[in-house]
Amino acid sequence: MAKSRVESRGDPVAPRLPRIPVKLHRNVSLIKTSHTHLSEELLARRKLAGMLAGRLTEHVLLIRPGQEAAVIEELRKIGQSPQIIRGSGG
Amino acid sequence: MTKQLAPELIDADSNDLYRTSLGLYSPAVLRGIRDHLELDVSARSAAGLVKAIEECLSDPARRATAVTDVPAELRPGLALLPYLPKFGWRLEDMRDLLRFVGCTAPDKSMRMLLGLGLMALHAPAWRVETLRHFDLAMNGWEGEQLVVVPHPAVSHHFNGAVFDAPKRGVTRQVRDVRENDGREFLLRVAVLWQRVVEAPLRLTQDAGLFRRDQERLYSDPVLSSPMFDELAPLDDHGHLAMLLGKSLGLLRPDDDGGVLRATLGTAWQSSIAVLQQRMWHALLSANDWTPPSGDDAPAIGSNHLPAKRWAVLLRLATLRPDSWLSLAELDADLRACEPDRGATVAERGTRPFQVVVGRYSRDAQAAPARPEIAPWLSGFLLGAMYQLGVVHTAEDAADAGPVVRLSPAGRWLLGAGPQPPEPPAFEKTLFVQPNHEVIAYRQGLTPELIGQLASFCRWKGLGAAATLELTPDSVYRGLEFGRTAEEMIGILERHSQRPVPPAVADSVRTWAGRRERLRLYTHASVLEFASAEELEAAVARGVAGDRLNDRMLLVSGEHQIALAGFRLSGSRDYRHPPAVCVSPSDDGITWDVDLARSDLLVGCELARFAEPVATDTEFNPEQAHFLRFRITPASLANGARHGVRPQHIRDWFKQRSGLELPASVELMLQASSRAPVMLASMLVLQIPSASVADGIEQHPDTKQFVLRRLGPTTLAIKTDGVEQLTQTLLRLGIEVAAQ
Repeated sequence: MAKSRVESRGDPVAPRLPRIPVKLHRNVSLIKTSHTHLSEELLARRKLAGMLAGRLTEHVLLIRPGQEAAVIEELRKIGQSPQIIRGSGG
Repeated sequence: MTKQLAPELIDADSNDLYRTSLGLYSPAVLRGIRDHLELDVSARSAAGLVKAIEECLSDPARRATAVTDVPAELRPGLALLPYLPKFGWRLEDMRDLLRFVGCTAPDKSMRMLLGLGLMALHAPAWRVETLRHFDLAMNGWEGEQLVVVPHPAVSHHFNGAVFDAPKRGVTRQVRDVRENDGREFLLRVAVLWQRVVEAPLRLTQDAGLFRRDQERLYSDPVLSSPMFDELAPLDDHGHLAMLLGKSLGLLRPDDDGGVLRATLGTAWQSSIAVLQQRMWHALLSANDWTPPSGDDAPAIGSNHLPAKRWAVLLRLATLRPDSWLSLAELDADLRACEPDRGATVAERGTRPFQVVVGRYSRDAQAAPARPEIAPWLSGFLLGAMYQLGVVHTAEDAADAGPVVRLSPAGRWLLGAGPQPPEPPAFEKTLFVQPNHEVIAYRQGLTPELIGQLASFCRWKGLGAAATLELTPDSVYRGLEFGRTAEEMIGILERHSQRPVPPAVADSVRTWAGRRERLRLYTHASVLEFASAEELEAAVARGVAGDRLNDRMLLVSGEHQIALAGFRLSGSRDYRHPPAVCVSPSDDGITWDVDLARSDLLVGCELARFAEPVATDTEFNPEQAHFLRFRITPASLANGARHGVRPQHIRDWFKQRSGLELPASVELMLQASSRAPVMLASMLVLQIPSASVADGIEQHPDTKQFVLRRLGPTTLAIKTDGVEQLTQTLLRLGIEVAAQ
C-alpha cells in the first residue's frame, strides 16, 4: 500500500492522519426532494426538465447554471414551495 | 429632488457625530472655542481639546456660565438647541427656522453656537482651519451640504418655549374633536415592507425608484387606497411609506445600493411611541415627501418647508394642553415670517375687496370669505401630523373654522409634556374566517402584531379594520422568516376572538409541510470523495454537510469547509463555462468522460440520452479515470421522450468535446426522428460526365423519363419508359449499354 502524505502541522504528539483526496464543486445549484416520485414528477415536466441538467441521485436533481431563478419561479407556478438555501456564492 | 439627511447621519451615534465633527476642526479653531469657553486646560493636541470642550459643555452650570453674556437678539438660537435632533439639521434649515421664530440675526446666532462649541459643523469634505471658516459656512461652502450637530448634552433637554404663546386665534371652545390612533403610517409601512419582501425594489443611481417600480407601488390597491380617517389627502403613499420604512430600518439598500430590500430589523419590537418618534423625525428632516417629478419649479409656498414645519409645531407647543389654535391664524403668522414672501404675495383670497352699489345691504356684508389655508400646511398638519397622531383637530365653536392642537404624543415629541402611556392593549383583536381571511381591528394592532401578521399574511385592505389573507405564498414567506406552522397558528389563536377554524390551521400545516418536501440549494458547494469510506473518514474529522449519496457531501457555504485535512484532487466552479471532458471512440457511439476534468453535470446530462457502460478496471486500471457511455437507438428514444432534441445533443457534444457530432450518432438521430428510409428497386442511368447528365435532365425529349438525380453522374429512370428513353438517346447520338 502506498504511503500517504501526512499532516506536518499541529500537535506533534497527536497521530498524523492521511490527507483525504477530495474534489470540490463550487456554486452548484440543486434540488433535493423528500420522495423519489417527486423527483420523477419534476423531471416529467417538460419546461422544468429543460432547466435541469438531470438527476444526480434518486432524490437530487441538478440545476443548469444560471437557471436558478427560473426554476424557483417554475416550481412556484406548479404549486411547489421549495425551501431555498442560498450559498455564499449567490 | 427629495432632500433628506444622509441615512448614515441619522443612524450615527450622536456623541460620535459631534466628536467626529469637532475632530475635523484644526487645533487653532479648537483653541478658539476653548478661549470662548474660558477653559483653563493645558491640552494642546486636537484630541485633548475636543475632550475638554465636550466635558465642559456636559456640565449644566458651566454651560450656563458660557452663555451668560449672549445678547438677546442671538438667544433664539439657544432656545432652538434642544430641538436639534441628535443627527443634526442642515445649516440652511436652521437659519430659516431662526427667521421663522423671529430671530433678527440668524447667522450671528448660529455663529455664536458654533463658536461656543454648543453645536458642531459637520462638513466631512472640508477642514475647518480658522474661526473665519464658520462665516464662510454661513455663506454656503461651495455648495457643500453642511449639517450642524448639537452637543449631546443639549439635544432633547428642553428648557422652555421658544415663542411666546400666540395671542390671536387661540380658543378653548371647540366642537367635533378628532383624534387619530397614529397607526396609519405604520400600517402603510407594513404593507410596503411585505410587498418588498415579495419583490425587492430596484434603485436608480440617485436612490430613486425606476418607473416600473413606481407604477407598481402606485397601482397597489392597498398601498394607494385613501387613508382611514383622512382629513387632507397625501400624495403618493408608496413613496411616503418607503421614506418611513427606511427611517425605521425595515427597508435597506443592499451593499451596492442597487436594490432596496426588506429586513426584519428591530422596529416591530419597539413601542408605538418610539416608532412615532422615528417616523416624525423622518418626516421633518425630508424636504419633500413625493418622488422627484423632473419639474424643478417648487410648488407655491413650498420653500423652506423643513423650517416651516418646525415653526408650526413650535408654535403649537407653546399652547396650553386644552387650547386650540386657528389654522388660518397659524398660516397668516407664518406668511408674515416668510423670508421671501415677495414671491408669494400673489396668493390672495378669492375676495380681495368688495364693491357695494346701491342700497346698503346687511346680508351682503355677512360672513367674510374664509382665507384659504396653504396646501402644504393643511397637508402637513391635517394630513401627515394628524395621521401620525401628533395633532388633534376640531372646529372652532365660534366660526366653525379648523383649529388644531398637539396631542399628548405631540407634546411629548416637542418637549412640552411627558411621554404618554402606551395605549390600552386589546389582545383579542382578530377574526380568522374559514375562507382564510383575517380581520384585524386597529385598536389592538401593536407594532409587534403588525410585524407578525405582515410576515405570514398578505394585506388585502386597510380601514377601520385591516383585512389580511393567508395564502400558500404568505405562509411560505413566514417560514422564510424562520416561523414554524405551529407558531403562525399560535399567533392567530392568541389574538383571535374565536378559535381558529380547523380548516385554516390545516391549510397552514399543509402549505408549510409542502415546503419541507423540496429544498433548493443555490451556489452550494459539494465535496466529492473517491469512495464511501473516505466520505466517512471526512465526517469523522468533523466535516458537516448533507449527504447527497455515499460519496458526496453538500455544504451550503464554501467558507464552512476546513480543507486542512484534505488534498484537493480537483475543483470546479459552475459559474464558469463547462470544461471539455468528453471524447468519442472510433465507432462514434462510445463516449468516454474524463473524470479528472469532468463535473457533476456531465454524467447527469449524458444519462438522459446515453447508456452507462460498465468498465473493467481490474484488468485495465486506466479505465478507472473514465466513465463510459454508449449512444443507442433506445437511449436516444428515451431522451426524446424526456424532451432532449437532436439539436440539443449536437450543441452539448460540441460544448463538451469540441467536435461535431459523430456520423454514426447522426445516423441514429435520423432513425429516432422516425423519418422512413425507403428501400426500392430502380433503374439507374450512369453517365460518364455530369454535363451529359445535366443535358438529359434538361432536354425536353429526355427529362420526362428522369425520376430524380441521385448524384453528379447518376439519374434514376422510370421503369416504364426505358425503351423510349433508349431510342431518344440514340436519336441524340448517345449509345446506351445495358449492364
